[in-house]
Amino acid sequence: MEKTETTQPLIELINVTKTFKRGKQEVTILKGLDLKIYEGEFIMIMGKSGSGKTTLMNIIGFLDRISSGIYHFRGEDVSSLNENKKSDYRNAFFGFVFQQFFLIEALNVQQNVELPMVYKGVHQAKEKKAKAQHFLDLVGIGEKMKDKTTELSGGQQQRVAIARALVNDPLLIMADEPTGALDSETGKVIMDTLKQLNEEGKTIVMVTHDSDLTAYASRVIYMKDGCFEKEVTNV
Amino acid sequence: MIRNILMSTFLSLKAHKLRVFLTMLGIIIGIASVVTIAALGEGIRQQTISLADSTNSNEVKIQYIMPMSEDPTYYEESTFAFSRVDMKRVQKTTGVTSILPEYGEGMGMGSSIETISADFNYFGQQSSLQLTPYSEDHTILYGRNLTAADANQDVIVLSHDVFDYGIMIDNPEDMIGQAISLNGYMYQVVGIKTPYDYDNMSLTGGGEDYLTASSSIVPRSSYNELTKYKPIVGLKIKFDENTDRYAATEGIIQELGETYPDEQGTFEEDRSNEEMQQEMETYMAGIVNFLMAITAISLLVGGIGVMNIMYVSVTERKREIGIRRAIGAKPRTILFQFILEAAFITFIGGLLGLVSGYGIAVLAGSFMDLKPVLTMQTILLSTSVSVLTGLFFGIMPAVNAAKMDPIKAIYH
Repeated sequence: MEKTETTQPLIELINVTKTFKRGKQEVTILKGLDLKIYEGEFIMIMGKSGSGKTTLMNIIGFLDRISSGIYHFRGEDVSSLNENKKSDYRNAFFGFVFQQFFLIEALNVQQNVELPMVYKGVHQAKEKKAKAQHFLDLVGIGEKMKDKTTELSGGQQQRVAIARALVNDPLLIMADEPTGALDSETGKVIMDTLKQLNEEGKTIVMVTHDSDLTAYASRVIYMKDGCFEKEVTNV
Repeated sequence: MIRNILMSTFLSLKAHKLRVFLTMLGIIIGIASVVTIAALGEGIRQQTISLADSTNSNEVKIQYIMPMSEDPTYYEESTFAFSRVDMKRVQKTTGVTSILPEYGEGMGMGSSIETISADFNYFGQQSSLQLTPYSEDHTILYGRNLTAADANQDVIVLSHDVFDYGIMIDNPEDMIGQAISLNGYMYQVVGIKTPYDYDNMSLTGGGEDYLTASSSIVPRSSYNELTKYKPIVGLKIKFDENTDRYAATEGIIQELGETYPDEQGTFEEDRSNEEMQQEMETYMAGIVNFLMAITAISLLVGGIGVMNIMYVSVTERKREIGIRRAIGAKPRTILFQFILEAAFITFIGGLLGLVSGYGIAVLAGSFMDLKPVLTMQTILLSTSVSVLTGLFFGIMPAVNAAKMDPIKAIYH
C-alpha cells in the first residue's frame, strides 16, 4: 500500500527510549527512535533477537510503556496513559497476533473470539456469536466455532487468533512473528490472510526475523541494537 | 459485564474441576461441620422449648418441702398433703384459671390386716390416722359402732389413739357428731373406740392385734374409696395471661403458710423444670459456641487453602492474564475475575457443605432420636460466611493478578 504523506500519521514516535533494569544494571533497549506509521501501511520490523523489535511493537500496541520521548496516537499524546486507558485503547484499536497464538485453553474457539467483545462491553449474545462466526468464516475456519482450541492445528489456532484480533474492528493488527511456529506452507496462508486484510484497509505492524517475508510489507524497518538500521519501502 | 465475568469464571473453573473440588473440600468440611452442629443444637433447643411449652410458663407448681432434719440418718416421709379445701381456696384467688392436683404415692401399708393411713384434719389440727374397714369386733367407749345402715355414709368411729397421739381436745366425747376431714373429705364422727389395753396384749400376733385396735373405722365403701386415695403433694396452678405469676404465687404461698401455721416445712414453688431447662440451655449454648469456634478454625484453614490455590492459579495462569490484558481487560476486570472465582468456589463449597452438613445432622439425629432443625439463619449465615471467606482470601491473589504487567505476564 502507498503511504499517504499528506494525512496525519496514525502513530508517531518522537525520540522514544526504553530502558530496563536488569539487576543493578540499566539496559537501554530502544535508543531514541523516531517513527511515523500511516493508516493502511503494512510495516514489517526486522531484526535479530535483542534488537528491540518486539519491545517497539509492544510500545506501539500499548502493551509496554516508554521510558522517555513522546508517543502520539492519532495526534493525541498518549505517552503516559494509565493502565485502564491503555486497556481500552488496546481493546478498541489493536488486534494482537502472537507467535504462540496465545488462545485461552479453558475457552472454546467461539469464546476466545468473543472475548475482546466481552471486554468492550458487548452484551448481546446473538451479536457476539454473529461476529465471531463472521470473522471465523473470514479466516476460513467457520465450522470450528464450538471446538476446543487444543484440538486445532497450529495454523488453525493462528487463524482463530487472527479472528480474535479482528473482532472489534481495530485500526491496527500487531503481529509478533505470526508464522514463527508454523510450517512454511501454513505460514504462507497466514501471511496471505494478513496481506488480504491489509488490502482491505487494516494497518499492519509485524515483527519478524524471517527475511523471506519482506515481500508482503509496504515498508520494512531494519533494527539493530535498539536503533533503526535502515528502512526499505516496497513499491 | 458481571454476567460475562461470571461466565468466564465458570468456564475457567470447569477447566480445573479436580483442583477446584479439592480446594472446595476445606470449605465443604468447614461449613458442613458448622451446619451439623447448628442443626443438631437447634434441634435440641426446640425440643427443650416444646417441653417447656407443655409446662406452660404461666403455670406453677407449689409443693410442700419438709424441714431439713438435723440428723442426716433420720428420714421422715412427708405426711403433709394438700386438701380439696386448699384447692378450692386457691381456685378463688384472682388470676387463677385452673388448678390441678399432683398426686404422690398412695399410703396403703402392706399387711394382712387391712389398714391404710389417711390425713386427718379437725379445725386445723392435723394428724395422720390408721383406718380399717368396718367389722363388728370393736369395743366402743362413746357413741356407737358402725352398722350396716352406714354402708354408704361418710361416717367414722375414731380410735382413742387419735386423742392420745394426735389432736388436742379436752373431752373426746365432745367429738361425737362433729365433722372431721379425711384426705380433704368430710366425715361425721359417730363413735370413739375404747383405748387399747396394753396389759392384755396377746402374745401371738400382737402387732396385728394392736394395729386393728388402734385403727379408726370407716364403712367398707369409704375404705375402698380411701385406698384409691393418693395424697395431693403438689398444686399445679395456671394463671391467666394478665396475672403476674410471681406475685400471685407469692400470695398463694403466704396464704398456705397461714392456713397451716403448725407445719414445720415450707411451701415453695417447684422450679426444678425451669432451672433444669435453663441449665440445659446454657450448657447447650456453651457446647455449640465451643464447637462453632473450632469449626470456625476449620473454615479459616479452608480459607487459607483457597488463598493458596488462588495464588497457584494466578501464577499458573499468568499467560492467560497477560492475554486477557492484551485484548483489553482492565486491571479491575482481572481483579473481579479472580475474586469472583474464589468466592464462587467457596459459595459452591458452602452450598455443598450446607447440604452434606444437614445430611450428617439428620443421620446423627436418627441415632440420638433428635430431629435436627435447619433455620433460615443457619442457611444465610453459612452461605454468606462461605462467600465472605472466598472474597477475603481471594483478594490478595486477585490483587496480584490485577497488578501484573501484561508483557511480563505473557512472556514470563
